[in-house]
Amino acid sequence: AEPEFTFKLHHMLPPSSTAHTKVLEPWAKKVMKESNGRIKIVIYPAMQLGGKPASLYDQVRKGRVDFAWTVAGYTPGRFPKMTVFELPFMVGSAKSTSMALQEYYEKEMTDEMRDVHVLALHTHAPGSLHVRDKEVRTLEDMKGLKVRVPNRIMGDAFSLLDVNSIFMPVTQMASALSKGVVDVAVLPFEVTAPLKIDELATHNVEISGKRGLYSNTFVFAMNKKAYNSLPKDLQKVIDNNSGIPLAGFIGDEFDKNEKVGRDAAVAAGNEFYTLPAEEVARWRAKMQPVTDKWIKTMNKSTNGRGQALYNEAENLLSKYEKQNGES
Amino acid sequence: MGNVELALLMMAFLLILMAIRIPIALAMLISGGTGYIILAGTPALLSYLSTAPVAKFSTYDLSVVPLFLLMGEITTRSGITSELFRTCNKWVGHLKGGLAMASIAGCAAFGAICGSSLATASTMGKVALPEMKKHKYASGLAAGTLAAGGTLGILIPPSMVLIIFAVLTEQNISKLFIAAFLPGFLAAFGYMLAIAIYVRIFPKAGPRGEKTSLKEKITSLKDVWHITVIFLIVLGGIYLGFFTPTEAAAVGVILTCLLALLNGSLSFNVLIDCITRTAVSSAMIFFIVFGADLFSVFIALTQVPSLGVQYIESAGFSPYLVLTLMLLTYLVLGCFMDSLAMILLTIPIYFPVIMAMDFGFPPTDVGIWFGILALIVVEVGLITPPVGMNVFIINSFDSSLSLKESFRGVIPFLLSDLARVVLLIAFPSITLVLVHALT
Amino acid sequence: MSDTPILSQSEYLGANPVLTWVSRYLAILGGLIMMALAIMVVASILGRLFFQTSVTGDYELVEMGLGISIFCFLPYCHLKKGHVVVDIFTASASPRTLLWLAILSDCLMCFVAAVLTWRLALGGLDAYDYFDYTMILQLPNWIVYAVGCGSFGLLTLNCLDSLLTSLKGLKHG
Ligand code: NA
Ligand code: NA
Repeated sequence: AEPEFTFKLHHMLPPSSTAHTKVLEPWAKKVMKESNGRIKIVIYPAMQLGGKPASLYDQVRKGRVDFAWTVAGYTPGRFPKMTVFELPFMVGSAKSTSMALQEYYEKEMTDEMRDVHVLALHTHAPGSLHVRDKEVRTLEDMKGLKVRVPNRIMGDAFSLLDVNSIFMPVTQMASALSKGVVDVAVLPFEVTAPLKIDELATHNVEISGKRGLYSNTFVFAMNKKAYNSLPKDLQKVIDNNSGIPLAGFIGDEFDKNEKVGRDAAVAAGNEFYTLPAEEVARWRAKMQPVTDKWIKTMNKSTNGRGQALYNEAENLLSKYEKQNGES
Repeated sequence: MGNVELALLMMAFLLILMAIRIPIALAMLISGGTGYIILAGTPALLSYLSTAPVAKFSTYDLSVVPLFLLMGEITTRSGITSELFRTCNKWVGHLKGGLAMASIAGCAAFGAICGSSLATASTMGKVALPEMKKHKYASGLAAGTLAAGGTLGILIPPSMVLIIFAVLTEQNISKLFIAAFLPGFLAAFGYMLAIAIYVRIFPKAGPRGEKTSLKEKITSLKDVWHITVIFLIVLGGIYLGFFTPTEAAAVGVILTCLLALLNGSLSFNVLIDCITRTAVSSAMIFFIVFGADLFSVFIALTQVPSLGVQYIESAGFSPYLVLTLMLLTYLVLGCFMDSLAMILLTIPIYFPVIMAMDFGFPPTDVGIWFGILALIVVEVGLITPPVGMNVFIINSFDSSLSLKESFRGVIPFLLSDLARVVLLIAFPSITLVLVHALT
Repeated sequence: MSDTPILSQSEYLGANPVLTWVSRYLAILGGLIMMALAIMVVASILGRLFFQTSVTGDYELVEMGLGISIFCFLPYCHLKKGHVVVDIFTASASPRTLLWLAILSDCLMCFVAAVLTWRLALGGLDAYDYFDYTMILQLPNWIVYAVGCGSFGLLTLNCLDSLLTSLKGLKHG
């Protein structure tokens, strides 16, 4: 039958990306199937409908597109509570962290995203260090290196390590790494393979323990009006495909893909080193001021609930780690 | 009306608007906007318009455009390019069509420091066009030489279009630059050959210049030290990892300013003059980039590209046939569109299709090879009628020159371009040999 | 790039000296901003190479500054007839036809510029309301919108001015 509702889903990655093939396409197909073909979702990858990745949230908010999937951390000033999951050494597996983030959103931060109908928030698997031509074993080895940081909070964190932290667009990163304009890229493996970073930075430094160095936060959202325009039974279809289960599904796909990316780096013969627990503790201690500052700033804007929010995030993450059998 | 019909209709509308002297950018905004409204409604278009100009104008990767243009202006005014032209002329000027060949050599040398075709065409054009006129060159040949020579600005790295291509396809820009070198010099050689053949057929078109002694030839080389210094610093800086190819444009501008200050040719007034000229051409290009964005968003909304890809996949065409068809579409689009706009419009659609096909060599190589081929055919668009930006620029320098004459003068160079494309398709190793040797 | 000889003998399209003056100095300002960006990039490179530091947020500064520069260039580009026009189909048209086409073109440009002025004003307000800041330096993006709004406003006036000039030409021709 002809679909009753045809929606546009816009995102920034190429159609060959995992997000497109393993997450958004299957999700759109599932919604179409469960609505008996009444909802059709056309996916527009690679910013085909214009704008910059950072503007995707606004596009879905204003209804220029009906669905958007994007990095929430592009506009850190806008979702301050959410950035707790961007703090150093905060995150675990993408699956558990995403479920925790989604529940944290439902409990604590619906106000920050009240202009859109959130389907799920999630993270990628924890990122690691990809070093060009130096063996990094300790904090001291980092001294003076040029580090491409993934977001503002990690920029602050790395600045505490006597490194030169540089933020540049992803599009510039490969050429910057290829000749040594930057020495270190802080990224998950899932990104290194498609950008061929694994060919350029062959020394991989990973973090031991169940918590990783950092992650970016993503949001998958629907326009409010579009959601409200649906009859109850179709809203139910959307509801059945959102929330904590969806966050867990997306996180799981990102974890799987992280393994694919890491295996590719192993197959390429890259060098791997895992920072031992005592060294990780030193890094953690050195980066602690970033977390302290976050709590202090949040205290100001939420009537002293900074520490409570931090604990909440921490507890939720532990809860899902237990539930998913990771601890 | 189906989406395919709508896409065709709006393309026709675009052509009509352009034919009645509506500025290209404006024509794209109007036709693309109309199509957008039909497919997605007025509120969606208004929402697009409230952010798109800012998003398009403040794009890091495009910062090279005005910087290369400014660099071109400053080198022209500081006499650096006329010295370059004079030196080239000492070496090849005594041949039949020698001044034209010297212009091509000058364009190639200038192209090695500047990544913009328009800047190269206008920079060398200002110097070489009056010279050729003075020496009784056929005006068509003179204009054709400089319009085609201008494309060397992009064909020889650094190259604006390659930077954008690398960004769109997540390719390694350094490898692309290396890959572009041989085809770029092949282009310069092919253009000179075209001139040589042309003046053999029409001897009056390009008379010989005066002979110079070997000693004069060698001493003239010291006059091109400016260009050599900039070239070495920019290329060395990229190669040694001091800066990225995008940042190199800023380095180039500052170096040119310093050299021009050093030889005393850059007064405050000259600088202001260079700035206002850069302002005009930058605004012109970015306005087209914005118009092309709206038009390509409309095309994306029609889903015609993905339908086309589905069709190609189901028809089971051979990889080389698909490649040829794609390159042909560039030649057609190139008649009407700016090279940057074409790359922005088509690469996100074409590239995944090409990468999914088996050409008999590794995909990373295919990506680079396709990039260079696309670069060449896109640049051909700069010299084909009715919209040939390089021809417009050269034409604007000489009021006695008709556009028809200029476009006719371009023909030998077009043939040379086509021969080169066929050669590069038949022998991918011409493109890939340096990449394999150096990386 | 393509001159319409019947319009005016002056170097500029349009006749209003105030608009011309403002457009020209705005373009120069934009160019100086661009030069400053180039200097900043080079300083950042030198810092990275020799002093283990670089300009914080250099990439953001380039993006914002570039956007502002391009906006500053637009009104002047129109006055200098900088926009590319295809003149191959109208090469043999009569001066009067060309004048009519110029009027049509100016009307459309005026309309588009006015719409964009309005939309960028709203876009800027939205950027202001929704904490649209750059990632590293937390610079407010509404500044670029404000410049854009002002520049398209000036462009609208320039179009009106050149439209008036063309209409006068119609009367006299
Ligand atoms: Na070049
Ligand atoms: Na053309």
